[in-house]
Amino acid sequence: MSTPDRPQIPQEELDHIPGAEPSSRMDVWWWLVALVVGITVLLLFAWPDPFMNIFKFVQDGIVITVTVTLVSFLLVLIVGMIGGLGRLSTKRPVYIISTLYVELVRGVPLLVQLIIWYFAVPVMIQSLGKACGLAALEGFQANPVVMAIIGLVFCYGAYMSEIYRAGIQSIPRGQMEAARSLGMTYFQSMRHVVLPQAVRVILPPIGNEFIALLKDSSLVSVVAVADLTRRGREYASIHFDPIEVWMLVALLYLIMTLFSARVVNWIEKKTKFER
Amino acid sequence: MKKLSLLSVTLCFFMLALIPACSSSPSDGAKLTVACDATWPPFEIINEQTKELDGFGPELIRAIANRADLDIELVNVGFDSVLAGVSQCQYDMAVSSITITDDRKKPILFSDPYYLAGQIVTVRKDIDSIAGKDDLSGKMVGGQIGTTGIIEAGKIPGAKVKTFDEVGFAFQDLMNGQLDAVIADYPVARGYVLKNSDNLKTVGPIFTDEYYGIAICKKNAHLVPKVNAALKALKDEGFLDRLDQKWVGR
Repeated sequence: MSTPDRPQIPQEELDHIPGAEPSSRMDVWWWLVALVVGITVLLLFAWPDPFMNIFKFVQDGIVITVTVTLVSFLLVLIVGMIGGLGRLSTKRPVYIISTLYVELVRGVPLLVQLIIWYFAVPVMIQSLGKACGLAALEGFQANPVVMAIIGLVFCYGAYMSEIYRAGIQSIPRGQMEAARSLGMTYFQSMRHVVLPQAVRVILPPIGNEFIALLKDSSLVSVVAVADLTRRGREYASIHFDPIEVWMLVALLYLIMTLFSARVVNWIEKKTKFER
Repeated sequence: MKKLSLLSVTLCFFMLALIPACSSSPSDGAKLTVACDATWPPFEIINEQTKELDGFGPELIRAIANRADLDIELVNVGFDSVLAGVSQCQYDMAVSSITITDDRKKPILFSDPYYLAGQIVTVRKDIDSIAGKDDLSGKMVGGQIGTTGIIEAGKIPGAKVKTFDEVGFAFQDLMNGQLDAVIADYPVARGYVLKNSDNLKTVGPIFTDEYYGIAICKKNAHLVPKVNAALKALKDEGFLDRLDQKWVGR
């Protein structure tokens, strides 16, 4: 149905929405990541003794740190969403339980929580098993990595609940009301209308939490999880060269955190359309 | 320009921080920092009443300081930091049940030995399959980070080694059933076994001979003869035996 008197507009221009083009400019802060990586590589190859030796020793620690952080963070996103919705629930018991969870958990330091999860909870489970005569519980053995992930998720889930709550509350009520009046259920309107908008608002604090989680994962070294920090301490305790070890460990953490900061930044830009 | 002045201020602070470290070496008048890890009963502990460092080691170093006329200050840090700190001369001395080993002798000076200890394996009471360190292959073995117990555990082929910040954590983990054995100095293991005799037992012989020495940072070489002379005098007086009776008491 072409109208001959109108000028033909090429398809590309029709697709073009002014002000909504995804930024093609390179994020200059990538240079910082490159710089830190460069320094690390320089250290590794210019002075293989001790830096390469340290790196080889802590390698599996890096894998553990990254795994623990990524797995915990995925679970934190889910726990946080449940907690956040619970905090906004009009159902009294749900609200009370989720508020208690948030208030109690964020009031106890993560380090203390981790020690409780690994050293105290297994004993509780075992004595529970003894009291109830359940052999499966009596012989309960905690896997340090699993306990560390549970501890991190439990603690960070509380913080994340508050972030989700803030994000959902920042979306005008009218959005929810409009969705409901179109016949959507509560969960449909959350899923299709409110949460997609809320997520854009809370993306920066979520990215912040991810970086904080990555750094706080170093605390799991107290429960004998052989993460990057623990491996660094072990190496330093054998070779007595704390300066080199901690410099390299700090650089390795920096590479991970700076890189994640750039990725968060990239996601933010990608999802920024209608603003 | 602003950045430059900021940089120079920062540099000045670094310099200031370095001055005491540089000048603290020779004079006997300066206070000597003695590092110790007070999570190693009965040798180094925190006194429950006074919250001061107490035990075999602290009492010994105080007696030595008294005799050699040294002014000391005890600080409580983690064991890996004790070793790293004294090898980097961050601490002047360390008394922390440190076994004299050839590896440690490279960066650290040691006094004459003051105590003979050795490693022993501790397991849960209900375990019959482990009779000594030779049965630990394929098992999860724990101990405190940086200790000779961990070094010995690392020598056992096939054993999986887990390091803890405090030896108490390792024994707790053993009792929780998440560890198969702990390797630690005999007097320490004995203390934990006596306290938890329902759950723990030591197995096999004491399989190393290890001498504790007072670690002295390389810069303070002049302290070694003084400490040794005081140590010898105390030994001759029977003070070391009295400490042994009081704290270890076999």
